Amino acid sequence: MPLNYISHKENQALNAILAEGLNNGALALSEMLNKNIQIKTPDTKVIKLRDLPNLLGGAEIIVTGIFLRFQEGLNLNAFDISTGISGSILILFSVDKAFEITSILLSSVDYTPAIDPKMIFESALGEVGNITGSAVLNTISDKLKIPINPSPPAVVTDMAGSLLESVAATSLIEDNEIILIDTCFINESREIKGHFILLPDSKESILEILNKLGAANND
Amino acid sequence: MTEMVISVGLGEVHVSKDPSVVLAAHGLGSCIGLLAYDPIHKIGGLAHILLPDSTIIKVCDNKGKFADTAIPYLIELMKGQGAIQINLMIKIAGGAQMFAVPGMNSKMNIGEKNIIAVKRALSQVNLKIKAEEVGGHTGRTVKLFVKDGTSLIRTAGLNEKVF
Repeated sequence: MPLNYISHKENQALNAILAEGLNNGALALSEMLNKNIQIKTPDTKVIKLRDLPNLLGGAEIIVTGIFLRFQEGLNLNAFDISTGISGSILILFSVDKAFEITSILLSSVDYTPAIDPKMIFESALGEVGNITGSAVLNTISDKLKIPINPSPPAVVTDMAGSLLESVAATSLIEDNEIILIDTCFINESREIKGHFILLPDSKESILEILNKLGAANND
Repeated sequence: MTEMVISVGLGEVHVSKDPSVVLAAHGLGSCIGLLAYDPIHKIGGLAHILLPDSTIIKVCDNKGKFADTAIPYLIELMKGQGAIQINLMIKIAGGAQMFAVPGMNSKMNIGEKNIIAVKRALSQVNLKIKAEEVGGHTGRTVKLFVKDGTSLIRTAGLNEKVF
């Protein structure tokens, strides 16, 4: 289902830029880890946020989410709902998949008792969110020739419903239509499925991205 | 008697006087689950409130979504079923801050804003809160049994408890 307030052509442009952004994210992860990480990105879907818990297996299913805010401009201290381009990114994994990612990331790190396992888990996943989220935002930013800044990531493991509704509360879009990409991180033979969710703060936000994309394409 | 669980979704308000009904809000994060019960008439209501203030949007077509509109709407629906306002026992849960993003403006703590707005809206209609489990950083599920007004709360990984 496309975003109902933009045209088919605009939807395609949006799909293309998000896929490109995620591929750039995979490249950045590969470089950081010195491992071959690929990201499979099937088609971008648009669904109502309230329907997502059912796709995940219910609102009480425990998931791990990596959350970032993003905002146009250079002010890193104000990730508030604002005019211009702003919104939220949430990357969701089942808890076992989140552990699997951590284990790939940390395979070369030796455990010492001084390390708090929870902190390691969260900071490793935060880094995944940081790199993939930033790659997508940088791709959009480069195309639009405007700065878009991500906030630092927050990593939370809790009920799916509680994470999703907290993201919904950051947006003024009626029905909270989200852009959902079912992603799959691939390292050698391991495939780790996850969901990449983009929720702009307002329709104007997404329309502005598309307007500027159109203008940039005509350059 | 077979129980029938009605899951009250984001921005929804549900009222029932069917004793087999259990009203539930699953996975509350920054939202507030507001339970109301008239013990004389055995009528229960649940509002799943997403945001504090309806005046931030031009046209509010979903009363259940905002604290300032959801509470009067819930009371109106309960009265429609025969409840009396002064009988209502109110319990609230939720209003957590699920994501504490470093450097993020505190204005983004919608959970806390929701708690304040819900309490304000309740005091405007002279309703007192009998029990509350609000704030913090964890998701919650609440249930209200219409037959006797029992309410249960659960956080991730823990057992349900009466609240």
